[in-house]
Amino acid sequence: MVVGVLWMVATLTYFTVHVTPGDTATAVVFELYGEDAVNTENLERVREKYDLNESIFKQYLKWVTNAFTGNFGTSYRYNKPVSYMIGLRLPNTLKLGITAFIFSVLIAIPLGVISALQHNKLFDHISRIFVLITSSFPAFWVAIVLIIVCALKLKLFPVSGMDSPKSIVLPALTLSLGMIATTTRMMRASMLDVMGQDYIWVAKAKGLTRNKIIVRHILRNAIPPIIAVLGLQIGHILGGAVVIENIFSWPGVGGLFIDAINAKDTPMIEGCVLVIAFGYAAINLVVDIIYAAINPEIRYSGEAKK
Amino acid sequence: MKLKKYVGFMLAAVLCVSALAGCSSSSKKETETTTTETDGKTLRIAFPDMVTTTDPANVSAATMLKEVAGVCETLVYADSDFKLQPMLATEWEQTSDTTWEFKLRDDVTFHDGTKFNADAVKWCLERERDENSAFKGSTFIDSVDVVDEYTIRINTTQPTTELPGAVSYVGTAIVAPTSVDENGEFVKAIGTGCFMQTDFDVTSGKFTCEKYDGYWGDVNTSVTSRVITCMTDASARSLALQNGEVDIVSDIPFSDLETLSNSDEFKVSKFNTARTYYYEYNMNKPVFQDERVRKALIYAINKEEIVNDVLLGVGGVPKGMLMSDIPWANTDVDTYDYDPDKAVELLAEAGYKDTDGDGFLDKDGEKLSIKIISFTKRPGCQLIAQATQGYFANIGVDTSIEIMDWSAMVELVKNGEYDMSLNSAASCYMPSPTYYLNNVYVNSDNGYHNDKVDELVNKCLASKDTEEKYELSKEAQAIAQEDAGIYTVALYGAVFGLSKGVTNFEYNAAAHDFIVPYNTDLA
Repeated sequence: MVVGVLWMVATLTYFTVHVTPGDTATAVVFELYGEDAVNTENLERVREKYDLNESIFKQYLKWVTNAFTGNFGTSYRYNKPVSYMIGLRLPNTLKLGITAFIFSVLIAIPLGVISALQHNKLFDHISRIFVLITSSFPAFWVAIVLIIVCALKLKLFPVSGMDSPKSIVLPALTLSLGMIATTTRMMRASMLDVMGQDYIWVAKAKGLTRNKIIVRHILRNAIPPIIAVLGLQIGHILGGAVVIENIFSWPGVGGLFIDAINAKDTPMIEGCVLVIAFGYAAINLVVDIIYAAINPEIRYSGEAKK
Repeated sequence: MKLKKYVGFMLAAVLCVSALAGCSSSSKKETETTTTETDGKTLRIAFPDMVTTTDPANVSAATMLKEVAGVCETLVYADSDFKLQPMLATEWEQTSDTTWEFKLRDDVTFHDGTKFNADAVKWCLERERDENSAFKGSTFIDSVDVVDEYTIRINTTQPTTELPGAVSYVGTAIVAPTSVDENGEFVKAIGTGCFMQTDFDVTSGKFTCEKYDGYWGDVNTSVTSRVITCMTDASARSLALQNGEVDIVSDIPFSDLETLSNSDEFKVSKFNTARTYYYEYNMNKPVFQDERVRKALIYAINKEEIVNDVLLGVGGVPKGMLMSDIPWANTDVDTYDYDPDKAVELLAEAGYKDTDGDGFLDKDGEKLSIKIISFTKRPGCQLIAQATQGYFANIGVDTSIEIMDWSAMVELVKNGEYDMSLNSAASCYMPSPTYYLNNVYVNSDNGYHNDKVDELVNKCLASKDTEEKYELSKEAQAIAQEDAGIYTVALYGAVFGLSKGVTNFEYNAAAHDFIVPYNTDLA
């Protein structure tokens, strides 16, 4: 199933890149050597080296056959295997993505829970305004504001590279903001929904303490829908990283992806798209497993259908 | 129970990340100690391209190593007057149409102590020829023979009088044969420059080098190491400078110029480069076959206003097709200075008048509409195209603009789906009086052609006398400028942001990108 999805994504990407205007060899020579190096001799050399003279279908077939054996080709832009280049950069993107994910969970879940418990009180209003603001502003703009305030004015964090442990804070925070907004809202709504259920009244009537009700009954039932949302959000993190990494000069897959698109470096574009698509698919799988683990009903209903 | 599992999963994730953060903090400590141990000054430079290797067969790497880090050198270099000067070669001579002999310095050692000699140069140039796919097409170098220990003979693929200029090209930077391992895999750039490579982090592209005590030349700087960080985003470079993370950044966004200029902590330096912004008319369209229309549209554009107000002073007003500092630039040509009245007059002569009173010129019932295409990579293109649209509107010419990727623009030009294209080209990629004429005018892609220009360029290419070469080039420039099929609308500007301590940083317009001279210092 996952392989099928990846194959479809890869095929779509391959042909999309080819229908965009511009000749691949021209783009490669331009990115590597500049406008004035684009002459017939250099173009011919690049075309020969990467078999660009063959028909698009032949090129595609060759790429797909190799990809199934684990060979994702050689990057036109870097003249190195795609898997090697991605291998270099992927750990950095994962580090950024995981940190952003943890930031968002640590901020969004408590925020959503408290908002729901303080329903229509001051904290709830403030948190809702915060959520509205974070979800309305584009990430690149938030990034610049964070840089100006937290780095240039307060001198708290560096703005580029990944030399110090502090370097990750601003890019991870920017990346997590969009996710925080959605998760907080979902958490709050899910909590409110559960809090209105009859069994909560029953629990109260039984004389359980407030804390016990919150932990055992409300949270436990409110969290499963959030896990699905979190899974989908991680996909956005991988996509968002492309922009954020560029702004913070974070050496991840995002930078490779942008460079690859500019150079029409098809093997590298394919590699990056596959990594993002695979990440998305894998996370959804993990989400399903966790979901089943904490909500046995799903597992049972699945088995019942069989 | 299940909730416990979930909490456990979250805790495990948090632990993983703290472990990752722990790894990076320990590596940070290591780099910190090495910097303090050397007890000198470190110059930190942002490089605007992504570098993934230190192999000079890769042009980005070669540019970084030769011009920015100061690790590698070429046989010849071009000074800021575009004159060729000896570097690793002391003298050179053409021995036949396709052979040149170069005498090498005998007092140079590579950073690992091995001797710099003819064998090393032969090995290096032939390796670069095989590894860099643009090498042969750019330099015409076919093979290298060792004549004696400090003399080489270079054989070219075709007759050329301009080989010394070609071996000033960054892609011919010399590294020692010990730079590769026994399998021929490139390991480390072992060059002859004032700085030697100490570290290269291939994941981030961060390059560190320190001063080489055995350097053959005289250098006067208190800087003992250089750290080069790859930052491809212009805003990111500017912000890193403002946050004190780097000392020298190139190509900062125009929007940051005012902030940086007004600050006491930074300096902004603007220079004209040998790169041009030029317009090409689609000469295959009947409207542009009329010279009056071509010239009228140049008169309509206020070149000074474009440079000063649109490009905010980052660039220069052209006095011909080339930057006037170039010794073979012909500045004694018609520059078609801004004159909208003359533009209207010429267009009227060509038959374009506003007959239907809609505010736009027309001829034979057809409105004069122009589609300008340009590309995204060079910061001035979109701005110049927009300004042009305004100037054309003033004289009643309807204009539309399309900005795209460079390769997409080339395709539209090839298919003839445009009226004017705004392009950019380096005029001194290699110091040669024929280089730009050949690339832009002789091998033009817009249908411009003049036998006389071709003939003069070929004569210039064949001539062995420098003065005669310059004269022939100037003559060709005058004819091409008079034809007005292609014209330089502005000179490309380079803008640098420097932290206030940086001294002795000079710009060399003959550089491939930008040179950080060995003597650049930190106060």
